[in-house]
Amino acid sequence: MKKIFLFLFVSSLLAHTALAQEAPSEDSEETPAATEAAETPAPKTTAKPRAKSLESWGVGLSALQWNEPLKLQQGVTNDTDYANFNGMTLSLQKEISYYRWGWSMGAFLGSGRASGGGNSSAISYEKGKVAFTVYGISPRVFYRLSGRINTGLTAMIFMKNIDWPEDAGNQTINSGRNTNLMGLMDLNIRLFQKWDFYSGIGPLAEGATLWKVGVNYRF
Amino acid sequence: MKHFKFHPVFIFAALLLGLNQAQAYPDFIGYGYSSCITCHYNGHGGGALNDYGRALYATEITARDIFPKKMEEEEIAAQSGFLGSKQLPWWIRPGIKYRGLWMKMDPGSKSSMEKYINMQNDVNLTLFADKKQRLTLVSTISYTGLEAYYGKTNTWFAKEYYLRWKQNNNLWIYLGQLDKVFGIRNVDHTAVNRKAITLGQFDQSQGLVAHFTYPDWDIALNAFFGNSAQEDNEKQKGFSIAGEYQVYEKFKVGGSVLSSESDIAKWNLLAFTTRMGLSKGSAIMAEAGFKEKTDKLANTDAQLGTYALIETLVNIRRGYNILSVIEHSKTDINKSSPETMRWSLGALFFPLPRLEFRTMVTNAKTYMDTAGAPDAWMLQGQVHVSY
Repeated sequence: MKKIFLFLFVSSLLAHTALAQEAPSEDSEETPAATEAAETPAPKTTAKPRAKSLESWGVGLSALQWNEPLKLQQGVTNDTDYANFNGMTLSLQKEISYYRWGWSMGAFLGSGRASGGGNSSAISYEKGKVAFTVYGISPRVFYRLSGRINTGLTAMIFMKNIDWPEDAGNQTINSGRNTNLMGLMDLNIRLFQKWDFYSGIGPLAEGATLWKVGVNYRF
Repeated sequence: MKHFKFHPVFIFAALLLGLNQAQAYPDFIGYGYSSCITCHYNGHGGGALNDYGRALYATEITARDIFPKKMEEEEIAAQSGFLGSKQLPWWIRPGIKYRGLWMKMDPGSKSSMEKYINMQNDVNLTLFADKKQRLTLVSTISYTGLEAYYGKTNTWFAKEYYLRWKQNNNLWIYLGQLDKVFGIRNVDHTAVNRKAITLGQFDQSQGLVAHFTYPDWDIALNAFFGNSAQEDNEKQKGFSIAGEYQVYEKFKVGGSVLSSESDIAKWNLLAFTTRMGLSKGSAIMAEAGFKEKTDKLANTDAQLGTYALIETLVNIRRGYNILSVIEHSKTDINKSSPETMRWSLGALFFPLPRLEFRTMVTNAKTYMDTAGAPDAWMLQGQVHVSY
């Protein structure tokens, strides 16, 4: 009987010791990092998460061309002729581009020369190289056809300042509106990493079409 | 990174927007083909396509909607010969090229006018003296309708005929009547860099061309003596040099000079060119230059003018493209002279083998220093058939 109690006692002590060896030691010298490394499975090859958007700034230099009806008034006689505008603009824009589409907001300032008249039989008026200035904003939304080509719509909201000089007394000469809102259908080409070529065309008013063609430097 | 999915709406929209003139085009640098000799017998482009050019046209440029999906590209390429898949003897390659143009000037106005012109009616015959095509005779007989060929309408004429000798892979010699070497030979012969500067579709000239070609650059020297159909006093005699350098793949820059003189006029031209592939099938190219013309009969001072052209081809899907061409020219930069600007926007389709369609809308502006001028509009459609 004593032998049985001694066997159970020794077995119990051995079992207890064995269980005690499996329990984690509270005063372990392993560092948390080492523990974490030991518990982390072997690294797997995974794709880098895709950038959700790309932001860039840009400065642009563009040529603007458009035509407008030239309203002529002399006394009680009215007539309409043609006016052509030819100028350059400097712009600053911020662009956000996603995988398939993007948008930008920009502001521009420019100046140029206008010519008008010469076609009316009712009122004699003909002027060239009349200075004008423009300034405005040009938000744009675009669809990316490929990494280097996108097409979209640009809204142009701009103010135009021009004083058509009189050719003779008692004349009032005006062309178009001073404040303009219009849309351009456009195409933007990434020529180099930082250089874009932009071209856009759209209706300014009835019978009037505006072109904007230029380059943007992105940074 | 091409992720545009074709939708018929885009094509319809492009048609509504109106959409100028194309052949195998310098724009095809977008497909990686930066040298014209790949597809043409003439190393500077234009004229008949060689066998490789025909196959490429059928399998890479043209849509394959009419072919079963399981049909291999090699089978389509094999059908691109003059007689389809039937092989011709190695020493002969015939060809036919037709281009028709419908145009409507000032659409919507009372003065609107429209007409249809058979622009190009060519029959090509190319003969080889040996299987390696070291010595080749290239000829094109053409018929002109309303467009006068040196004063003659509705007549057959020998448009081009020349011997091409391939001395080795780096030197090609051309002798006979062929297009003068200068600038970018885009298909629209009415563009500011073509007809207006003596490089139109009927301005081939008798002469000698030596074309040196290397992987990264090429240069051609051309001595010419006028077209055989011209009167002697009209024949422009002179020389031209044109070269291109490949900065990196799908990006080339180049330059050209030309100087020629007849009893009537003297021309000096200088141009800078660039072509860049953007993504598969899409490209942008530009040419800008000076043009100096002296009218010897009027005994006036030379007029020094400028011109520029920017052409963008955007491939939507195989066979379907959007085309934008912006042109600018000024007759005399030393005096007050009008600036003319033209923007053509439209579609360039290759829907079926051997067939090409174009629809374009053109807005033209004139800027004068003294007075205003109305815009001009034009609609045009073209059909090209190549056999």
